[in-house]
Amino acid sequence: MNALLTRLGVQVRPFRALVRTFATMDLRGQLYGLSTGAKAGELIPPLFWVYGQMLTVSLLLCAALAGRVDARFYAFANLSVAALMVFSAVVVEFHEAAYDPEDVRVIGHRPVTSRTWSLARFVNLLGYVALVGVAVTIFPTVMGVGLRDTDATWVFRYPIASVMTCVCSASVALGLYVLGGFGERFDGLRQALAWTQIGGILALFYGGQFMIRNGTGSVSMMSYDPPDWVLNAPTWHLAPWVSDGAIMPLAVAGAITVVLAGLALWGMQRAWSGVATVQAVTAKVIRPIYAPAWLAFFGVTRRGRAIFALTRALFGRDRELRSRTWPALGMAVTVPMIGILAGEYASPTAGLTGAAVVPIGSVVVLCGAIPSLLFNLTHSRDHIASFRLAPFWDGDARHAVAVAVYLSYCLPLLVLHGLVLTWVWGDGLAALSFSLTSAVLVALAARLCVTSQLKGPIASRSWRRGGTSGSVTVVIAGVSALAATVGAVWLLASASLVLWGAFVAVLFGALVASVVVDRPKREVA
Amino acid sequence: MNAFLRTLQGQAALFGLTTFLAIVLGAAIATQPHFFESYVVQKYAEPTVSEAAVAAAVAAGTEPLTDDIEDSVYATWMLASELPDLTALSDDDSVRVRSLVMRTVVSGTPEQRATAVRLWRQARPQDDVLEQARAYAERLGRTDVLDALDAL
Repeated sequence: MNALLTRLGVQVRPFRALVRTFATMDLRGQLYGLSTGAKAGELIPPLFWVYGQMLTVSLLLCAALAGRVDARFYAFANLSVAALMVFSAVVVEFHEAAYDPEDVRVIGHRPVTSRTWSLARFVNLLGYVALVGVAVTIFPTVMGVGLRDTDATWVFRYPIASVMTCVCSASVALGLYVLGGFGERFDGLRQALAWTQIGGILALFYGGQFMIRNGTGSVSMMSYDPPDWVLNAPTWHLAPWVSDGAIMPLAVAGAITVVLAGLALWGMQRAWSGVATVQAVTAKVIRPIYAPAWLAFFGVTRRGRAIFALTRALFGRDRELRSRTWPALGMAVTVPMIGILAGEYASPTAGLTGAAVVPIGSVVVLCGAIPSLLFNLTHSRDHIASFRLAPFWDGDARHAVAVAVYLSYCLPLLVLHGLVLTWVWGDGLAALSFSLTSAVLVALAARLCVTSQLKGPIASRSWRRGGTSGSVTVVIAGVSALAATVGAVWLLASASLVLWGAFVAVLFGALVASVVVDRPKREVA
Repeated sequence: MNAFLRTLQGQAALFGLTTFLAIVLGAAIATQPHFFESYVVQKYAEPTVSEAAVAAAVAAGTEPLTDDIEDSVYATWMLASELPDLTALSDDDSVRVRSLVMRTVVSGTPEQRATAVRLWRQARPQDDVLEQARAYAERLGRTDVLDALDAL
């Protein structure tokens, strides 16, 4: 081995040292540390938890599909999930696994040749992709043999297809960085994708239950009569190799894999070989904080506007706070996805059916996420935001923080939901009326969480850790129950335009009243 | 032990052990297909007297099959000791019944599937099942199914 490395012009000892260092960096991945809650120095490192989570995603998918779909759809679903997992893993830990422009400051002055550095990076990247690939390949390979329409050759065919899928997916992720530069441009994407495997577990856990309990068998029916987006997916075209041993898909996939991997490695090689070049260091520009005047429209006072701006700045600067925010919203994203995929996402105005309950249910779930969002921001000892906001904690501040959470997370989600509804229902007016009602209901839920009249744990002050357990669960349960009740009334009121108008008017009145009642009394000079 | 686990070799052993356990677990699950098959079942509620009367009226073609009654009517037919004569169904109703039958073929037990197919054969003996199978196979690009159909 040493002789081979020497023949390749690689410095053996630096190479081994670099490989060990990179492997340690992989294990202690910072973003995966945030999403798994494991610190870098712990005995079980973040990457190990991610490996276990990916195994869990794969196991849940295999168990959910076993006995319900044919071999081709089984292969398609597993290959698609493998592609998604590998893509997210490479994007999230790109700076640890593949290339970090900051490394030049650490190693640039040391006598390590560019070739040694490049090979160490390449070996580490290969090992990282292989590790993730193994996690998403084991269960489909072993459990797929037990399907009704497969035989023992599945054990060889599936891993081959999975390797191609993983290499293609990793190449696309690398290409994203090669084309987009290697700086901090994709930091937002990296933070969001760090939750991919956790989101996958949630989606499959609840989606699997939905599949088993769903009397109309809509998920199973979808697999037997796949929609066009499935028929156009690359993994759908590769699946016949796995299910039937068709050679042509294998040949085409092989050629695509070689081309994509070659292009990605060519791009990466150019980056790796330039590591010895010292790059100019530019100072980070911290953007000023603005407190927009239009917030008065939301009942935010002049003092509250400053607190709103501070909250927004804290959201922008505290990566961990942002990372802790996504899990609370996971269900609010998952429920519409499952409903739409299963064809159980109808407009309430179209009739009082079971499918009409799901969109309202997704809004109720979003309401239930708000207490966690607020609690993380204002009560968690883990986030600097709680300490920054503590001195201002009165009615003004509570309202400003609630508006900040609403405008930063809830409203964008509701707008996106409205666009999706327009596409799914094909009725812009129904989608608009639904979104407006949702916006008022979610705003009311946010207000209820912070109103001092209820004397809840968010309105009062008590330091806690975490945002999903302890006293906040009482608020989550209360807000969810109330939102579910209001949602039921909403469903019934959707039968008539007059009833719906009255319902929205009452909701809006309650929202305004909650702001007015909680407004702090001003001392007269 | 902790010191060993903190080394790269220790971490590699941890990953290896997890992978091995995953393979063992996967193999154990793969040998129990009946466990998963038991969950692939359609559940039908026992019909009331009035639902049975409505189902008989729909079968006789005197009452249309609508969204709100289709599940209870279909359940009544599927649970009946003797399958009803559905030849009097209107074309619109037969389309509904066919989708219900298809649903059972996909998500029912083998016995439920057989019952559903018998029900459909009784309702529409002239329905060209082979043509439907061909259209389905062509859409999905299933050349193996097309070859099998040609052989018929």
